[in-house]
Amino acid sequence: MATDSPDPSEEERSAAPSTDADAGVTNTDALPHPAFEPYAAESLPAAAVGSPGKDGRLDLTFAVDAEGDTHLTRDLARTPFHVSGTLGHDPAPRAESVYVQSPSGGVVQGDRHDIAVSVGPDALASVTTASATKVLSMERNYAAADVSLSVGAGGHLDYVPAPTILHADARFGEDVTVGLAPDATAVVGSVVVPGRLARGERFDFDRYAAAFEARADGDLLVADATHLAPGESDPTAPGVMGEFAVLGTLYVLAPGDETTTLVEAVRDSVVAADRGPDAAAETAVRAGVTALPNDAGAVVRALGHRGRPGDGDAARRVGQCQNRTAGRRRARRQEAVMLVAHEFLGTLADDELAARVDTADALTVTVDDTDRRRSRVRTTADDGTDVGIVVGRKLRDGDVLDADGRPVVVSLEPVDVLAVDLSGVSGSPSTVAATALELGHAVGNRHWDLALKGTTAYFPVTDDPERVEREVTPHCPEGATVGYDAVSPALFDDGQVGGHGDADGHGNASSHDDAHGADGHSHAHDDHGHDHSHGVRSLDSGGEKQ
Amino acid sequence: MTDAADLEALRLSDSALPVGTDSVSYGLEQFVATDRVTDAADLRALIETYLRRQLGPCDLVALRAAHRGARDGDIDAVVAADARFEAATLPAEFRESATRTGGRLLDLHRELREDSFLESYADAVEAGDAVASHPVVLGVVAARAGVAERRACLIACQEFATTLVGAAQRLLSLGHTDAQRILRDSQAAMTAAVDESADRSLAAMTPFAPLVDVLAADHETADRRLFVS
Repeated sequence: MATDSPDPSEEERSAAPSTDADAGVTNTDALPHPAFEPYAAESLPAAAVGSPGKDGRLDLTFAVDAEGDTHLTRDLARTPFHVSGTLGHDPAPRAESVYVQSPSGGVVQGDRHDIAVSVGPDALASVTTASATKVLSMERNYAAADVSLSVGAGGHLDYVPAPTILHADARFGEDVTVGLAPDATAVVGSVVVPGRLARGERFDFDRYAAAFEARADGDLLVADATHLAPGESDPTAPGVMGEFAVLGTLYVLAPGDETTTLVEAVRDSVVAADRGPDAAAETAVRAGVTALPNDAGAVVRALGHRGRPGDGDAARRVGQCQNRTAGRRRARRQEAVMLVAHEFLGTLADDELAARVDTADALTVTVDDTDRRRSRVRTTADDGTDVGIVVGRKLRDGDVLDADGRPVVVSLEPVDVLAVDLSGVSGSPSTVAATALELGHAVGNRHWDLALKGTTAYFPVTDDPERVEREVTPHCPEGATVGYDAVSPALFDDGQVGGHGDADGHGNASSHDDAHGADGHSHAHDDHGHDHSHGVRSLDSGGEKQ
Repeated sequence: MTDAADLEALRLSDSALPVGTDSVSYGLEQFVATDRVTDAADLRALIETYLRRQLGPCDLVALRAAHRGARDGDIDAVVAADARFEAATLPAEFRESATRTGGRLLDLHRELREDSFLESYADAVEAGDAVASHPVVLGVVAARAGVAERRACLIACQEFATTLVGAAQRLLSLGHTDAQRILRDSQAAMTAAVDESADRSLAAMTPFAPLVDVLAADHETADRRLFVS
């Protein structure tokens, strides 16, 4: 230290990461923690085509209806997540509870999960998982989850998932962000179990890093972090975990509320759970309650020996307690906000219904291809009316729904497609068959959607038009012309080719099976419109699979 | 550094600096009350945890950002470091201790030197935009006195360890030789903490010592207290 400030050696070191990012070598911003950078450089073994769950996504939106009851108005659950349905909320009848199931074996290397929960103004929602999340052993790369929670003005969210269990060699990063509107509240909890404790597995994982951030109107309230890397630094060090194994944290976020009163209320419920019958027992939990920074509310930090909920798990018990308190408080103030379409009446092809739409004060909603697959959609009608749609079927152009007596006509946003016009293809039947088969095979291998209308084949190009064109063009027979068009996404309905990545967890339970049954791909091999395809919908044959 | 800066560094790390560190224990009082710290060995191990899990990933990150801001005349960078440190410090008593000692350190240096940068930072504190947390104020006054960033980090570590050892001497039977031995034996952890803080952005401010959090929270309701934290 012979130099005066600024210290040049440190300037260089701190500049290094941004240089890397500029060069596109590593995007450290996307990492759960800088220490994950070496893992990120480890490529994953090639996954089998269509292997599910790498990019699991869960997207839940809650809103209140005209009666002041909260409903799940939008949900999207992509493997491995599954929303089994909603339950009324016992302590607060106007609230809605969702249990998320993750039926696959656990979180594996390379998983990148995205969870978004949005609670509308004055809505009361509770989201939890039905069972513990197991983070399995990893050899390469890592797994990460991004959780983004937002609560509208006067709304409340409980987000207290079951414990996360870190198996030997697991590497897991979690980012939880909470955005609160004015007068919004949330209870967010997490419990981390450092292994399958019953079989003696304890702190054998590689690394666990969790970041928690809460903001109100964009202003940072709380930034908390958990970082355990047992191979690097002893988790049982004094002041870290000590003799304990399980870590629980519960953030009770109520900015602007009387913080002192809240801390005392939370402390009272924790002390009861904390001391227990025998403070030295395996079930004993040590928990501390303190006021969060920036008058954001209270936090409970709890340490225990076991991870089983209900087994001395103070954080979860406190969560339940707070949840009741906040639920009661919020249930008192509810407002009408939304028209909900519950029933499918028919389509505009029905003359009688079309006439009724013409005479009644009908609303038109335009939904995109993703929203039309959701079992619950909240959208805005063309005249600005807030509309929820809960009809349990995949929406199509011209669908007519009933919203409290008012007809709602569905219009689908067109999707961009690559159109291959095959009408100019000539040659012997065997040549035509061979080229058609080649095209069908090439496309089928990539599990793209495909539709045939007359002699034109359509491929959706939502992701990367150039890539689709690059892949398709070499397989097009002589005489075929390739162009772009926009068509209704319903063109690809029924018998779709490929279906993995299909965001639809509900109301279209057949889609996943379809994906596996679609290996026949397209072989429109004769000129009479007789379509043998198992997966391709020909509009000439009335749209039904044969 | 110049002799003047060297002397400023010595002055800033002097335990006689009147900023009220003799009234804080950062949870140590509760560790002693619950028999988790009973002797010099326990204390040394706990101090290492504080240095490696609290100062390195948190306090020193704030200090460095504030030091850079003060060097560049960038008051917004100092205010941002203060805000992040506040949001990342969960135990309420730690925030109170940090702003109490930080506020005194700032006031003291406004008396000692005419410096428009210190005045504009004090204005931000007055306006409620900043909290004057200790590591941030130390970073600012060190930078303005010509004390280099790394040396300022070492001062923060030395001062923290001295504070804890001083508190322990009042809570335990701990001799002066033991006290000095702990300080000397903690030097490796101090260096490691300073190294680990070097490449961290404010967003990577990640203190992690949950048992310290629990006991610091317990201290808020403890029956008998000598220290404010």
